[in-house]
Amino acid sequence: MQRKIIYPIFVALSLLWYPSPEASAQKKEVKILPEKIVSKFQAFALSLVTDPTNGTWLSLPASTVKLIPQDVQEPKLAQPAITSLKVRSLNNGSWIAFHIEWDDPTEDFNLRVDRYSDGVSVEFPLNPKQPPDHRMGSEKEPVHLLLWKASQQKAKEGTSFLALNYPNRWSDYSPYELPGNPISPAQVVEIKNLLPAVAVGNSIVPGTAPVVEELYAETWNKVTVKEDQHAIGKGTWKDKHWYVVIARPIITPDPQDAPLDGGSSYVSFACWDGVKANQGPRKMVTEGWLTLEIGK
Amino acid sequence: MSHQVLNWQINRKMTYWYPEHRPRRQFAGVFDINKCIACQTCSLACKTTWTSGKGQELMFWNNVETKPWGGYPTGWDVKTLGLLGPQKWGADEYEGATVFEAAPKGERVLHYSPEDGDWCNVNLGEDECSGIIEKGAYLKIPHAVCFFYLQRICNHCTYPACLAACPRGAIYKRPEDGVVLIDQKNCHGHRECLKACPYKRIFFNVVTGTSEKCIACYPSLESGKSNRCFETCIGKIRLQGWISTPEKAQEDNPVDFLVHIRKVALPLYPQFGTEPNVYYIPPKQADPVFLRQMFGPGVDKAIATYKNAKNDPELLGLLLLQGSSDRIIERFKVKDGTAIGYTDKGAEIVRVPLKEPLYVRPYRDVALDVFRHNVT
Repeated sequence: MQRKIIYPIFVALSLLWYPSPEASAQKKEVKILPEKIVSKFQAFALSLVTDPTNGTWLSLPASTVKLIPQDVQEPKLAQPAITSLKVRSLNNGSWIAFHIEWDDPTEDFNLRVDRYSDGVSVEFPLNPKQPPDHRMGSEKEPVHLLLWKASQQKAKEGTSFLALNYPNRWSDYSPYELPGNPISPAQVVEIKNLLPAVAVGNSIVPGTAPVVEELYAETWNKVTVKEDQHAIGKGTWKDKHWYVVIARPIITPDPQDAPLDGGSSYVSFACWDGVKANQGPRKMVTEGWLTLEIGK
Repeated sequence: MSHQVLNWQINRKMTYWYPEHRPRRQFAGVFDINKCIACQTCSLACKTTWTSGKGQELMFWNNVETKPWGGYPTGWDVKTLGLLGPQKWGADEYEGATVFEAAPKGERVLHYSPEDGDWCNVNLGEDECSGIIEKGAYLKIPHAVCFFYLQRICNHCTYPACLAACPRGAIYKRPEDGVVLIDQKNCHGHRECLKACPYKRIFFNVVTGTSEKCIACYPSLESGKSNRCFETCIGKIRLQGWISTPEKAQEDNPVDFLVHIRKVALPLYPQFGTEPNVYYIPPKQADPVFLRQMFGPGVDKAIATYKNAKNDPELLGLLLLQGSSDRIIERFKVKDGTAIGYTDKGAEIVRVPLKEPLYVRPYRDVALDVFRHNVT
C-alpha cells in the first residue's frame, strides 16, 4: 500500500525535476550593471553618423565599457580579445547614435575560410521594464540587436572577397559574364539562382545586408534578421583604433524594435576581433545590462 | 548540454549535443574501394551538377583521394586523429573517446579549422604509394607497399558533428531520409560546422558568405533515382540505398546485407562517433594495420568475407548488381545464377547474371571475308 502511494509521488517529482533540453541549454541570469550610458540630447545631422572620426564625437565624454569572454553558451570564447570599449552617445529626438571606439592593432574585414571579421553590436531588451538575460535574450523575452561588421561594410563599398583572395580564379558556369558579353535581366536571375544563399535572400551574403543589420533574438539559436531594417552606421579603422557609429530611430512602428521612447532602457555590447577568430558566439560581451538614459 | 545516445558502430552509448532522434529511414551508400580507379567521373558529375558557381571554384562535395598520403583538405584525417590522440578499441566496443566526448571545455565538438591553402590542393598525393619499393620486392597480398583510393562525400551522419556545432541551428537532418542539409537562408557563416565535421565535408563560399555541403542529390533521391556520383561511376563501385539499425536489418535490403549481414562494408573512422552512413568495402591489398585505424576492428573479417565472394552467391550477386542501374535498388534476390534488383514495392529494376555468358565466334568472318581481332 505504502509503495502504491510513494511510487506515483516519485514519478511526479521526477517529471517536475527533469529539465527540457532547451531549458538546460543555458543558465539564465539577468544582471544589471551599475554603469550608465547617457545619450546626450544634441541636434545633429545624419551625416555625422557616417563620420565616426568627426571631432564632435571625440569631444563627447566617453564611458568605458568592460567586456568579458562569452562563457555561457558553447562554443564559448576561450581567450579574451577586446577587453573594453569607449562608448559615447547622442540623440536628436528622432535618432539615437552610439559611437563605439576600441583599440585594435589589425583591421580585419576579409572573408575567407580562415579569416574572420571585426565587428561590434548594440543590444536592447524588447521589454525595458523586465530585461531578459542580456546574452541573446530568452524564450518569449526577446532582444533587439544592431550589428556592424567590417566585412559587410567592405562588401557594401564594393570589395569582392573572391577577387581579393583569389584574383586568378575563374568559374565557367556563367558564360554570360564573358568580357564584352552583355547580360540580359533574365540571365541575371539565372546567375543568381546558381547561388542558393543569394537566391533565398540570405542577408549574410556580402553586400546584401545594410552596414548595420538589425536582428531579433529569443535565444542563441533563435536569431532572425528583422524584416524592417532602419539602422545606419559606419566604421573607420584609423591609427590602430576602430571608430564605429551605430544609429537607429528612437521611435519606430516596428513591434520587433526595442522601445526607446520612454527615456530610458538598458543596453549591452558585444565585440568581435577577427584576427582572434572571433565569430558568432565566440565574442566578448558586457557582464550585464547597462542602464541607458536618453536625454531630452 | 549533452545527451546519451546509442551509436551502434561503436557498440555503446555516447554523449551528443541533442537527444537521439533517428530519421524514418536513413540514406546510405556502400563504396567498394577495390573497384575504384580514381577516374574522378563522380567528382566531375557532382561538380558540374552542384558546384560550378562562383565561390565554388575549388569546392568538391565529392572527391577521390589517394591513401595513405592524399587528403582534401590537406591532412584532414591525420589532423583529426592527431587531435583525438591514441584511443582504444575493446573486444566488443570502442573504449576511446569520440569527437563529442573529447571536446574541450566550452566547445561542443573536438575540432580544428583547415587553413585556406588546405582547400587548394584537391588531389594532393595522387597515386603516391605508402613507401619506397625495395629491391627484390615481389607482388603479394597485402602489398608490402601500397596505395588505394578513398571516395568521399558527406556521410550524412546519424549524429552529425556539423549539426551539433551550429550555434544558429541552421543545420538539420531530414526526418524522411536522414539527409543532412544547411539551411541557406539561416546560415550565418560562422563556420563552426566546418571546424567540427571530422571528415571536413563542409565548405565555405566567399561569394555567399555561407557554408555549403553535399545534399545527397535529394531531388533524385526523392524520385527513387541514384545520386549523380553513384549513377555516373564507371567502375560500378557504388551502391545506394537505406540502412537500418542492426536489430532491424533485413537480408534482402542491399545496404543492410553488406553492412549488417555479411559485414563486408564498414564505416570510415567510426571512432569519431558521428555514425557515418557511407560504408566502405576495404581494399584487400592494403596494410591491415592502417585499415584497422580507418575502418575499425572488423576489417580483417570483412576482407576475408569479400575474398570468399566467389563461394557466396548472394554476396557475389549483390556486388554485381552494384552500379547496374540508375534506380535505387531497395531489395534484391539471387536465384538460378541471376541477381535481381527491385524497388521497395517489389517492381523489378534490373537483373544481372552471376556469370557472364561466353560466346566464341570463328576467327574468320566468312560473309565479309575478314579475320576478326576479337572473338569473344
